Amino acid sequence: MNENKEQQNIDELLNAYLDDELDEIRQTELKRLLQDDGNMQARLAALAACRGLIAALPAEKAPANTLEAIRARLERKVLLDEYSRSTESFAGKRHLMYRWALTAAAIFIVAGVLIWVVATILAPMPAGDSYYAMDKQPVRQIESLNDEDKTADSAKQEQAEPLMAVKDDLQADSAVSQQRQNFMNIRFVAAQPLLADLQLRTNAVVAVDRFVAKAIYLYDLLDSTSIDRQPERITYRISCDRPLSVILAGELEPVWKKCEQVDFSISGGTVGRSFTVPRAAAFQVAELLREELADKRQKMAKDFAAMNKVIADEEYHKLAERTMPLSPDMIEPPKPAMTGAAREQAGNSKKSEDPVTLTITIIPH
Amino acid sequence: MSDTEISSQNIRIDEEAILLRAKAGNLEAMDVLIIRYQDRIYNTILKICSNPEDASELTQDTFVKAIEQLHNFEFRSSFYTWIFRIAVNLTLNFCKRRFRIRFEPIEGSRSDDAGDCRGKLREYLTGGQQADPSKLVCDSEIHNILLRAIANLDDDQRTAIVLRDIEGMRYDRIADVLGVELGTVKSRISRARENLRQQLDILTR
Repeated sequence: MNENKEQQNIDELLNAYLDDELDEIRQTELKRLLQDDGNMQARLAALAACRGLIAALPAEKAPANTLEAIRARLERKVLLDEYSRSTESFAGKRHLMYRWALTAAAIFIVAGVLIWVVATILAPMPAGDSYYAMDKQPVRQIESLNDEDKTADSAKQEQAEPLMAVKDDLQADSAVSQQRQNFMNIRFVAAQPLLADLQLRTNAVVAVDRFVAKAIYLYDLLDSTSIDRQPERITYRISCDRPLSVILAGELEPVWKKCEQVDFSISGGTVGRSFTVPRAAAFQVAELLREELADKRQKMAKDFAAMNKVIADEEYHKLAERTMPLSPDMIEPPKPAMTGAAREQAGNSKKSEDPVTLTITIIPH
Repeated sequence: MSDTEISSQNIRIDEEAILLRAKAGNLEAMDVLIIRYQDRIYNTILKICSNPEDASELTQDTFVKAIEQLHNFEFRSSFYTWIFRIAVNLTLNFCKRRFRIRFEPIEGSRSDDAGDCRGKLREYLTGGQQADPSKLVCDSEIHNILLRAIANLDDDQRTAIVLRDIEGMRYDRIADVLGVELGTVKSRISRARENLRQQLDILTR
């Protein structure tokens, strides 16, 4: 027993000597012992051989996709952990079930109303009212924005002119019919959510993605957001109302610094035609979402697009530098102001009825 | 240049500054930390758990946990010690859950005469041949014998010997990583080498 213990102590001493872990005094003592003891020398040689073999094993490199895999797992955790934290408690689950039940009931009611509206529109009309079926075509043509669209639309308009003539005659004949048509157009507008599409082209996909996910979580929009993750793009489709979409756009403003280009498209509101603002700034996105009137929105989009084109034009910068000392601050778009009142409005805005479908697409640049 | 092409040798930024940035949520700083330590963490875990797939998963677990807990890191120890402590704890917990180690032999050209390799190894261990160990382990047969011998050690001894002989840590740092006394480290390393010697003796017969 004692022999074993003694052998263990000697081994520990020899191993510490091999690993250069002995202080100078012990090292000297051990060297002296080794000179006189052949067994100890053999023992040291055996341990050293064993140590040398293990140390000589080649170092293996981590798999090439380790960094990407870790990033992906962190992204998933950010979304899933926060979502599960918000729903894991029993009360939370009960609340969620209550909300699902309410949503299902609301869907049934809305579906019922829609069926009734559609049935009313499509029901066979008396002979005098037959022009209602054609009055949507001219409304679509009014929404043409750029020259290209106008050219295409003018061709359509030529084809539709006979119908227009008939319609105009009938409209002139009956003021009652005019009122009814206006009513129908208004109904048509109310059924359409505002469609907005924000495209973020970036080299920092993970950072931008996490920021967007965080913003969605902060504004309690996870329930009304669908996420589609593809290798070439990540798409968030958020259903909310206009005030909240404006706040969300403001909240995303820091993301612009991480993006190489941001493009923004927004629908006209009445007929689903969209207008694109290339290289859109955060405040432009917020302003376009804030604007309620479709015609003002499209004019604003045109102005922003033109302005961004000029700002991106190198010749413009060269000219500007020659003609006037232009401070970079003058080119930088102002940051959107986020007041406390605006945040409060965002909290309450879920109740209002002004639906927006905001699609945020993150694309590796 | 892609992320994987950035080698740890090329990154010469002060680690404390990187850690402060990473603690503040800077993703690029986190990437730098991952790139800097991923190979060493993976190699250590692989030698402890003996299976490349498990080692890859555990390496990812280590960094995910480290980044999640980074706000708790208070510079009391070095980041190197801290992240190795996470890696070793995760790996040992994983090994305890598993009934036995799934030893994955490396693939390679098998010698025509496996007995010859074993003979060379036996000669080297008994001091009859002054061979270069780094040349000996190039033979896949000898390599597999060594990995099998390490895998046959118990978890504590295997971890201690891997941290010492493969990662090259000093005893006091191993004690920090494992959360044990210095004397315990000494005895674990000593017993591990003795057991390894016995294992190799059996495996080379």
